[in-house]
Amino acid sequence: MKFLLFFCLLIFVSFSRAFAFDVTLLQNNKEANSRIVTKKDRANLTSWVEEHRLGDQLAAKAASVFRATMIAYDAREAQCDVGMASLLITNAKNAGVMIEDTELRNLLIFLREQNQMDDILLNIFLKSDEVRFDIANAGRWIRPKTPRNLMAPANVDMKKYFSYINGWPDDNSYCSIGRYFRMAEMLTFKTKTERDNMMWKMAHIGLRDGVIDALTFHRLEALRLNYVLDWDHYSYNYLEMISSAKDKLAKQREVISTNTFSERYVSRKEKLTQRGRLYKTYSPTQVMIMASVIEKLSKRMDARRVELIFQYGAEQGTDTQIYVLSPMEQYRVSIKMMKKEMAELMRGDLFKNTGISYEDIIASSFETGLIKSSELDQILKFEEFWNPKAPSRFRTYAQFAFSLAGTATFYLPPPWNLVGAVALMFSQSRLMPTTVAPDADDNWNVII
Amino acid sequence: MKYLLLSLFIASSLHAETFRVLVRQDHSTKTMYKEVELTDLESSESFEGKYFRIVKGKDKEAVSFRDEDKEVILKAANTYYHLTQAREYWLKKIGSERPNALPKLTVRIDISNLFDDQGHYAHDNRDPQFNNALSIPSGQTPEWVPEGREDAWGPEIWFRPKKVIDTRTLESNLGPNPLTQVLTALEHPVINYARNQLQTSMIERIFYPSYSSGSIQNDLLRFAGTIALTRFLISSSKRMDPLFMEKWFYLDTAMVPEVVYHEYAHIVLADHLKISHSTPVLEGLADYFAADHANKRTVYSKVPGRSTSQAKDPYNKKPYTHWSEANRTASSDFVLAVLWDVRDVLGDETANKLVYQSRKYLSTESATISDHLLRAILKSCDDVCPAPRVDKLRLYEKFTARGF
Repeated sequence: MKFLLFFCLLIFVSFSRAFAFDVTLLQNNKEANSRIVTKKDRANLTSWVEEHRLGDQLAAKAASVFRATMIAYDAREAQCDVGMASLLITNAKNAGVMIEDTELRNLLIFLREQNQMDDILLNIFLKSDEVRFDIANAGRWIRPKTPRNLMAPANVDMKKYFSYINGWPDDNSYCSIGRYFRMAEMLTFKTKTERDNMMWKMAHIGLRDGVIDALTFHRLEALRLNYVLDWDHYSYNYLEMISSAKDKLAKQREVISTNTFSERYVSRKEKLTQRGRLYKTYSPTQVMIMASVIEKLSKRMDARRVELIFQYGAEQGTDTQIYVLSPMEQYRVSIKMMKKEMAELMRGDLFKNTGISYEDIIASSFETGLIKSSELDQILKFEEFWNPKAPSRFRTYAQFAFSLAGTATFYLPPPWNLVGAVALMFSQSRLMPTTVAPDADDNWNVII
Repeated sequence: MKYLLLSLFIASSLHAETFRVLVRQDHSTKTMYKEVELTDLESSESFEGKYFRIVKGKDKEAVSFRDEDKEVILKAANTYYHLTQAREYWLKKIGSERPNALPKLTVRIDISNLFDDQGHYAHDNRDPQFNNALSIPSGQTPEWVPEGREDAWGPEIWFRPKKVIDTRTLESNLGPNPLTQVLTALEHPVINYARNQLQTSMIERIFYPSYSSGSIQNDLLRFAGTIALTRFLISSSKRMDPLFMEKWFYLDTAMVPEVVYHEYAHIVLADHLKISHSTPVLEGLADYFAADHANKRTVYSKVPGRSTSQAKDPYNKKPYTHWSEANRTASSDFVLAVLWDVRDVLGDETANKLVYQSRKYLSTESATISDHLLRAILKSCDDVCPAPRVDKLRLYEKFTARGF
């Protein structure tokens, strides 16, 4: 019997290892700098590390705890964001990396500085910890006053609505945020604000009608006030992207990024970086498809021979003319074909409402490891190929000033009008040299 | 032990002699005469070296140190010295093994015969050549050639004698002179200005008649006069070419260091690029290595009393046109400038490796610039570039700017 049990355990272990999450993929090799870690964080971290009881062993121990946590977390039935922070706290305390819950931020910042994780995961952890704290302390709050004139929406089944939180989810097998999402889906709203207001009202109605108790009410409020429905990233999607797309096309995984492209803000207001947008907007499948656009571009540019075939007759192989494209024609055709492919992707159902940009394509290629950080700048220049940058502000003002001055010279008495015009032309050519692109009409050797 | 003795014997049988040669000054293209030591000479009497034999015209024996013509000795010493330098350059800087694999090279100075691939030299009377240099492939006379006139030869470099020619008799392919260029550039703005003045004056006459002065005829005359004067100046400037040209053209190829480097480059590159005829790509490749070796701002710059030839500019910004492919532009600096673009992108060391590697993907018969040369450069980048994908993108960008 013991042997049978051992055998079953062995099968279980080998089975789980066969599908084990590659935790090394969590290491940050895409972001050169952190957008989240502040100077104050670094100062706090320095003193935390200096005073830490583990001394030199801290880095190795912290990394080991973090990896074990993420493996255990990934192996859970449900990846609940709130439970992720709790799990790390428990493991870190057990390993002696942390004593107090309040040390978690320092530990997370430490792991980020050691490139054990990236900004996206750090952000999920930090938000997760805030919600965890608020839910854990929800019972300490006073009972709120119920607003008057509360009317439940007619189309919402109240019983079903609150059934999702009958017995507060343990954030291990059942996720509180996930349940909160299900509740929100039952409501009809136009904007996020309207949705949040409705959920606030529903919580009050539940409390007023005795469907939920005060503790549950406060927990729901903790979720609402932490905007859990509007986070850019959630651990489940993040881990899915990491395990299904990150570095999947890399011949050799890069150790560290040397380019700041990933951390550039797409939206400064939302503090959303290029990489953050990729993780927020696209699924791993979409990312892999977008990366394939660059892969095909690269293959086309490197193709040994590209032909244009004019078939005059009806049958193949008869009466044809073959034109072999020159390397530069091949280059231009490859870029034009990439644009065509992007257009096709945008039209397709898979990318509906995503609005693919060239940056997204590049970000996917970088995320999948198809292109390295050292190649990013050059590849980004492609966009200038079909979308030249607007002239600088100085250039625009200078052109306006020269145009005004040019008109003014007409009203100068001779010979100063001519002298002024020539002087203006001279200063314009000196101040604003133009790099005139070669005229394509001069080169009859190319057709594309 | 035997080998050691043999090598000691060989080493001791080589001589070094001091001669006067012409070199470029360190930090300019100006030239000066300098006493240098010629090494690896096998003879103490003549320019018979371990790697080079310098002969005069169709001679078989090397030029003697005691030749009556001092000019011949100067040219022989000059070519010997610069060829030795070129050999060192290929071995040490480019890392080519080809110079070691070459047989002793015969270098002919003051030879005006045409090359004949069937008989080595064309008849003396047949179109004698001057102001030029060429490399010839090895060969031998066919079997049917009578005994006594049979000949076999290895790869050779021929330096033609100098001949002074009146530049007015030369067909000019240098394009418009600088004055014409300036006036042509001004034509459009000046005429535009005059037209705008006329338009402003007309508007004033219609809307503010009280402010206008002078007659309409006067304005029209001024406008027409401006156009006529501009056109007249431009057409007159075209006749002023002599002001911007040397009166006489001559090129003593044996006395221009870069020409020697250029011809030796042809010999080294001949492992893949047969020396059968001149094409813009072949000449450009040889120019590239000559320019790299010379390490000056321009190549083939004038040498007082020896060359009034136009210098080639590696930094020439001239864009590509379909005319760049014409064989008659083999002497232009367009391909050199394209290869210098590669250097600009990749740096000296990688570019040298790449350009040398590109010969493997080229052939003398099919060597167009826009197709074969660029393809060869891009393929070579796969072989030698540190980051091929990015480097190729940078090359594409550069070639686009060049108008390809």
